[in-house]
Amino acid sequence: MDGQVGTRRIASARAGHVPPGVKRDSGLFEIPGWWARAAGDAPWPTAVFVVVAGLVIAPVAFLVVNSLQTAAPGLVPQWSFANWTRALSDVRLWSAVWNSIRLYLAISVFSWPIAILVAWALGRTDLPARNWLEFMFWLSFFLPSLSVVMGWIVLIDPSFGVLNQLIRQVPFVHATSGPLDIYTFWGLVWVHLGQNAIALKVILLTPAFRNMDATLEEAARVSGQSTLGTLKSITLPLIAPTIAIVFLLSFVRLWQSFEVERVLGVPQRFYVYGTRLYELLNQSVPDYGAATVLSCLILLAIFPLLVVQRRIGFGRSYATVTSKFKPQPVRLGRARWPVFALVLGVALIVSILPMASVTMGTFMKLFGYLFIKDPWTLAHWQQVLAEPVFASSLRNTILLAGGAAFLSAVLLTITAYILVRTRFWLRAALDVITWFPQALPGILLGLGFLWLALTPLLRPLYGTILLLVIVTVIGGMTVGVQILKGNILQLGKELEEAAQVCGATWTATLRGVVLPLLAPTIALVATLSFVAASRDVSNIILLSSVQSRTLALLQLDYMVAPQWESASVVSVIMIALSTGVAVAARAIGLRLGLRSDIH
Amino acid sequence: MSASVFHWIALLFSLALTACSASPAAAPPTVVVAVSGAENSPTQTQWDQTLAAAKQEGAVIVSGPPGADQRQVIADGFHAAYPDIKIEYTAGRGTEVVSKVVQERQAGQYLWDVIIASTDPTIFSLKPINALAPLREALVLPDLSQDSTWLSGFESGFTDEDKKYLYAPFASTTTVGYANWDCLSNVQFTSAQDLTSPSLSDRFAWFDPTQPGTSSRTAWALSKEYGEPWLQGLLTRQKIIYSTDHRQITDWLIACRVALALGIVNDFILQAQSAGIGQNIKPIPMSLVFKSYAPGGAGGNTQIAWYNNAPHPNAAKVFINWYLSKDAQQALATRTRTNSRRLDTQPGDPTTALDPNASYLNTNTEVATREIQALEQKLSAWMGK
Repeated sequence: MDGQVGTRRIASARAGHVPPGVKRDSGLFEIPGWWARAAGDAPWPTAVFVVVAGLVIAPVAFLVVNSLQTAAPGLVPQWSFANWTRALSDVRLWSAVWNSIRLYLAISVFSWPIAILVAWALGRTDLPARNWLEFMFWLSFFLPSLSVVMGWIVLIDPSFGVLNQLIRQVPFVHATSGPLDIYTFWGLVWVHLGQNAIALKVILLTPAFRNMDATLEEAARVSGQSTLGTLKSITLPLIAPTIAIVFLLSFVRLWQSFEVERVLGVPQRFYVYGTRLYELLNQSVPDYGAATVLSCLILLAIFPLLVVQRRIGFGRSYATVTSKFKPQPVRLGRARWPVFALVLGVALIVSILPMASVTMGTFMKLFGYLFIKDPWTLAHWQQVLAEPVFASSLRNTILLAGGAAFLSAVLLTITAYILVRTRFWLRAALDVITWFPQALPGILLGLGFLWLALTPLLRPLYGTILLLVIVTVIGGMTVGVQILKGNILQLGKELEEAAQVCGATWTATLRGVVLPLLAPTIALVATLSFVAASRDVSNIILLSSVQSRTLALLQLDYMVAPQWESASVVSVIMIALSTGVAVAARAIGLRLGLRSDIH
Repeated sequence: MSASVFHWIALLFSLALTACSASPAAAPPTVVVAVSGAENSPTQTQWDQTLAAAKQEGAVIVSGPPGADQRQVIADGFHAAYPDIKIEYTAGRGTEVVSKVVQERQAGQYLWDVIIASTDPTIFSLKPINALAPLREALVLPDLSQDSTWLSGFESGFTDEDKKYLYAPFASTTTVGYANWDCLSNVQFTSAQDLTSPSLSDRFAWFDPTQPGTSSRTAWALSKEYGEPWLQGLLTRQKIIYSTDHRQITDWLIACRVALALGIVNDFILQAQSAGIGQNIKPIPMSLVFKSYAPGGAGGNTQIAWYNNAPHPNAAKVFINWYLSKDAQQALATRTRTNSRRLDTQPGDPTTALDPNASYLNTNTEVATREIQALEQKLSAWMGK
């Protein structure tokens, strides 16, 4: 009888139901009776779906409807497909699409093998100082893209790049410019690799590697497989869902990338999808209709990939963290120090070098000019710290980013859990909905939320930091949900089933079993949300007010002034803030999560 | 948690606390405007009543151009002059601010009093929805609407066709571009026709003229001088390097990677020259390029307008009168290196000051702006974008 009860409890838990006879909730909240009746036996998943779908679909629907509206803003609406036909019949668009595909393929050819090897080394092996090396890749993610691009220009501009100048000093090199040229297709590829293309993959793949069960790899090696062979035939297939998610994320992100292309692509007349979007939004009257059409194309393009990703994720079990989980890292033996040198080299290129460049720029009279008279100065730091709005901007940034980190950790974890662990009937729709924000440029999402925030329901939040928190969480939800999904797929179900058989409620199981195992990943998601929110401009610029001004908006002020060096000071302060949070979050996450000690 | 991590966090926290509690080392210059009229005159009475009502309202909501200098002069300067009227100053690109305003007004929310922006967003987005109120209704102090106060008279400051809504208190010539004369030794450049010369192939940069701003206005002025076919020939046959970054083009000029640059601002050039480099980078003389009318006139992103249904109409009037006053205009001109049209101010950038005896082709009027917007579409095609 007890076994039957336990089986029923397990079956009910998987269906997302709270069956009769089991305490409905002994956790945080009582569920109101009216909601329980309306939502049936899945009150929590239904509540999450309503909230998430409402906050995503409402602004997206507004944008899509608005794309069919061709009258000038504020005038009597006129409905037609003119924006769609105009956007889709533009030959420059398809040329930009092809350039984006070429760029994506070139970046992927280099970034994937490097990222997988680095993530494997960091997450699965006895590499020395691997926690610090991993953190260096996180630092890369904190760096603002424009500053990094300018840093690389200082190094490899064909005329005045420092590296080129040094190379031209070599006796047998006879060149008046170059030989390295950042204003080429491969220059673009290099900057992307040095920016986020490798670092983001490493950040997202390393936790998945860390959650690998060593017994599976040991079985392969006992059977005669080499270390790399085991990686290829055992480890990589087991983290296929995470790889599929990272592939999709990097694919979508590249379509929106425009900062690097704006600076390096325009001079060589290399236009990509992102620069086309940027132009539409920066005209005398921003063409939101056409920009929405282009964003819808991204959604349509990723839809088949989403289907494939779901099939990979849910086609079989990828559980590696089970009751028999053994976190033993792989010993590298003689390869230990060469691999360390390789990973360190990659980490230096993607994080320390650009970080040093950005920081150095804040102390330079003129960014990039080392050979002028008295090149160093503290004036930019003095200007920024003496700025009357600096303190309030810093406070708002901490509130916004801290709020976004907390809300992301809670909402996205619950959402990912519903997607993976329950049979909630709308979970496929919820999965698709979580991708919408990633497909939209921030300014469009901000416009959609502006409309939503002006409705009577959300009007009290207009101009407040809470609204900005909500927008930044929704804007970044794709990455967070997908990371958490990948990790939950690795957790064996028997761990939760064991708790429920012993009588634990759903919330108690979540608190006592699932959350501790997910702690490092939740810390990662919270940190990414903190960083994204602290740097966000495009999502919030239409929604912020004087009272909610953040450091990112202050930085924009300086960039437009143009006071590049002062803008870099604000960047460095934001990086320092993010670094502090990341250090704390990692420490907490690693302490609570799985340990991989060497025996 | 290891001790080293704690130390690092403590260091960061200390930095944050220090930053929060840092007292201003040097406050920006404040502008205390003494607006006066004769005691007990009707004007003084009206001003006093307006000021009293403004203090009752307690606040004024203003949007203005991004930039630390503008923000400090406008927001801090007004606060110093009228501490009883709280100014909520939002800096942002005109297109973004206007997008927000249009949405708000469609939802029946009237949240703004005054806008300071360029012609494009105001004319294209606010005027069609009748969001603006006639500026003359805001002018209380008599000297502000007198011809003797302003270069070319009061009326010439309006840039909208109706001459009612959008007022430009600043005016300057439009610098076509800059040349590094150190890099032109083996290049002939004595007129605009030389822009098509093969010797300038790949040595000539242009800030993307399809982006609204100085660059597109320069392109329009060139098309007025030489005709669109000439401009089309220049863009399709000459090898021009485009960029959307002023700093990037300035670096190229300094390094002699390009010898000429059209459509760029001079801020980075001035910074470089104060650091001792790029000394021979100078504006391209107008006379080399324009034989008929040089581009210039009232305009810029410091034009002012106010909204109808403003939530604080009296405070808005006080702000507008302050903004157009001598002291505020001088402070802005000096700090942002622009030139006020007020005849009792000194130019912030004498090299771009208008000659009162010359005629200019104003690129900032509503008519010109519409033509420029149409030209931007053609430029995009000619550039092969």
